[in-house]
Amino acid sequence: MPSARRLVLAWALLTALTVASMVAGSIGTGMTGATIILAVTLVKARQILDIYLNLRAATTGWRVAFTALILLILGIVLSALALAQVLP
Amino acid sequence: MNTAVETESDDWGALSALPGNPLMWVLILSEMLVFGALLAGFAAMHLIDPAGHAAGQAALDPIMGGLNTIVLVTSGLFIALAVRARVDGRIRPARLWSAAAMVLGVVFLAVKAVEYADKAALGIGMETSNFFTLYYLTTGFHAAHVIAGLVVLGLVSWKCTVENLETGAAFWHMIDLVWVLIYPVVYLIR
Repeated sequence: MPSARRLVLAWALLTALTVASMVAGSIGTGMTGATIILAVTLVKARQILDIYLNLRAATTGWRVAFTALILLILGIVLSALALAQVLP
Repeated sequence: MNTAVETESDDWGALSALPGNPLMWVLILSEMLVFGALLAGFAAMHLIDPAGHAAGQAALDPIMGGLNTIVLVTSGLFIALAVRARVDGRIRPARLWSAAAMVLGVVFLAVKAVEYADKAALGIGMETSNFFTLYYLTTGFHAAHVIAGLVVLGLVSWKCTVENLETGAAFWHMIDLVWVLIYPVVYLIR
């Protein structure tokens, strides 16, 4: 179980990254903006898993599996966006 | 004999390597797959009907969605602090942190209700477009999880053992995690 200080630091990072996403969403469009926003989302999801859910106490295999699942979901979204831009 | 039975029943195989209740992790994985499929639906819509997707997304308020993200990650902090307090043997602070997390859960639902009311005032409903069908399915299903989560947190605050609170908190963090994935895909990515 993480310390209270570690939990508060994770919350501060999650909040800051959420605000950054909101700003990027209001400014950036297209592939660059989407890639930045989804990369930030990956970091946020990992914070929730590793710190809030304490997944860092699990084996490397589980940590890799959860990261891979998040990457799969975000990768499908990014791939669709990329395809939408090149298809007529 | 009893020890052997307990040892056998406590063996969850690979799931034993995860912290907390193994069944909760099965649920977390299941929910990630379900909501992942819904988000893949948004991706497919972006590909098949980019104009319809853009029009639907333009009617959403990313500020409200972002506000709700901050509300949920903050409630996640509060329930994590509740578990921390309970692990340290401090039951009353654990219950107070849990109550604070529940209040923010209600705030999340209130913000969501305002969003739905705004859409309704514009004449936007579930059958307005494919985008909004998926929008209401995804966010409505998530909101149903928040309501279920509030019930779970109420129960584990009442029967406030370390294991109960850890398990309820894991359910709440799952709701948090799923929303963190929903927000950028539904509200932000253009």
